Amino acid sequence: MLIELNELSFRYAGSSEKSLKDISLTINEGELTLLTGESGCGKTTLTRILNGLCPQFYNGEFSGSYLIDGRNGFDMSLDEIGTYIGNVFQDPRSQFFASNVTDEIVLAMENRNYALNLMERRLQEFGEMLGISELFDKDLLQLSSGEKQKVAVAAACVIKPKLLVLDEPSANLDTDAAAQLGTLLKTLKKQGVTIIISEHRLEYLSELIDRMVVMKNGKISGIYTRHEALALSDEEMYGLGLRLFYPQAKVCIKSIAGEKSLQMEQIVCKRGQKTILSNISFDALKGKITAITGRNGAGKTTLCKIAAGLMRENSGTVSINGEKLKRRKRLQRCFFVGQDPDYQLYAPTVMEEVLLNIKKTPENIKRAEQLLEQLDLSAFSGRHPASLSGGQKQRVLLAAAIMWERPVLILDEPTSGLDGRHMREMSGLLRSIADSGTCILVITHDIEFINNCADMIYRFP
Amino acid sequence: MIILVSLSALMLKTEIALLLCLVFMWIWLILFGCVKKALQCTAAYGALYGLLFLMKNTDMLGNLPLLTVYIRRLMLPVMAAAPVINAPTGCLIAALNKMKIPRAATLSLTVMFRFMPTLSAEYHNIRESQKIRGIGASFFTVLRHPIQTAECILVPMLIRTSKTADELSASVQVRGMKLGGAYSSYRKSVIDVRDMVLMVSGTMTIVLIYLTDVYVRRG
Repeated sequence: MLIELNELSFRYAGSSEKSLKDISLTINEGELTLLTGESGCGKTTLTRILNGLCPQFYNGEFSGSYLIDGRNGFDMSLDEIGTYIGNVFQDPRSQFFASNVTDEIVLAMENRNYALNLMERRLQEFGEMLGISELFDKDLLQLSSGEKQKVAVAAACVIKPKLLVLDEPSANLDTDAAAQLGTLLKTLKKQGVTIIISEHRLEYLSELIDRMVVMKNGKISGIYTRHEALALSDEEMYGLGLRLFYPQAKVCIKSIAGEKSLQMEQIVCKRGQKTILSNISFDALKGKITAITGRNGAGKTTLCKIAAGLMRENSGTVSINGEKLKRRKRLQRCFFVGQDPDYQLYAPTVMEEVLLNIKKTPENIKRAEQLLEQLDLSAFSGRHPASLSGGQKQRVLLAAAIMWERPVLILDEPTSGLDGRHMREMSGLLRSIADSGTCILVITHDIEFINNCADMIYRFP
Repeated sequence: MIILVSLSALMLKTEIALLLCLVFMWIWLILFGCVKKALQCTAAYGALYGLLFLMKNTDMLGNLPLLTVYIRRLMLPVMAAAPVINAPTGCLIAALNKMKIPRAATLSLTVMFRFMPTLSAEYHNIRESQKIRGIGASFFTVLRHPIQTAECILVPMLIRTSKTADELSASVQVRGMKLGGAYSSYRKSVIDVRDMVLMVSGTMTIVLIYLTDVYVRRG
């Protein structure tokens, strides 16, 4: 047994409720264990217990026992635990210390005083094993999200830890990049590395898992063997609030009748020497949800930013509801919800956020109150938006979008990092906004989400 | 040496001293392959100086002439930082280790340089999102609501930065970064001819600045 947790509970300092309650779990060597469950179920906290960040970095009270390879994990320093356990975190932007790929990968070895020739040998070994040799010495900021996550895995594995812990590593990856991450994990598993992965997206893991641990409200609500997990029906997975292992694309591209809202004709966009969009024409209908898919870097976000007037096109025209509009005018007709809500919330309270830059007439205030009620946010109307969870922040933004009543609403990857239940709720919410006559564009690689809400798909060439 | 000269640049009194520092930064940028940056900065310096010359004859512009002087001063540290920002992080750490600079200072300096590109990316993201909500969308609205615009940039920026700092710190601590204990460097740091040239010219610059200062004071 590599890891043994017994009756473990944890409460963050300053929080009134325990985040983990009586967790008992054993992990055997060579296994790949999937940790899953709805947002806020405690799976991230559990990964933090494993790597020692709780309670050594995030303070709190704990009870119960934690053994790593027979030693008491609560008596070991972060550095010591780090020699047993390698970590990959969710957001590549904040886990990299270096600006350069090679420096990032050797960092854990430098900190442990490895000799130069050993570092060189390991670099070569992992470069070949994970297929990233050609990335060495590149600038980290220039890499795609998929490449960044591969570098993060290499940086965690070079000191050959017995256990690799990954916390939602696919949150920023498209379908192809997630599949590649799956292949990479398979390689590591063959080498005998024990892996624990906390994740909402399951499709890229279906071939790999040995066990699935489902959590709810800080407790383990079920442990399934590989066979049992894959045999669960769609309804059973929905009941657990999870996404599916094998989502099937259901919506096919068909032309549906309707009134055209957003029309983009022969859009060309160049930045420097690079042509990002060449002659793209595209229509979206009033009251319908159009999903825009395609691999990372294909130009999906660029196209939508041009539609919203956030980026300048080199040539081509954009019209909204039959009227040709210049860039600045489009800024006032579209609402764009970006990937990260942290950049988009400015006001001191949720209520003021929803009414930001809107006339505070009694009717508007009443409408805002109703909206918060509808979106399950009225309990938070006096709270600071930054103190809410990711899903709640997104709903606050949508409330603001509804208040503005703009004809076109664009969302960039609204379901990355959302569990099955919240993803389905988001689909319902978008449907009701579309029904009021708004034209909605959603950039997404989430097959289940597309199945749930899209009327049309625009697949990027 | 670079740090010393750029610090002294902020306290300079005479135009000649400023010019001396500029020449030194020139040597530094060209030695380490940033010729384009050197040319850009010289052009900007020249333009600002010319502007000052034009403004001498009018006294209606208030603090503008003073502003051009300050911008020229601030340019020097920017020039000093340029080659370091582009250098691989490992090289920076290796070089500072070799200079026997304490580990705590090395790490905080490295984190500072790591954050610069992050900050500018965050700033662009925030500005873009604001336009949709009609905050600071045009020059005119910025002028009309300067405080709202500034607050709406600073609040998300601080929230993002503190989050990033937290996560980054967790990520390096589990990878064994700590203040005590032994560590090694993958990058080699050697002192070569370029460093020698820099040290000699740096020392000369500081001596010359001191001399001109004394000369000016004597009248």
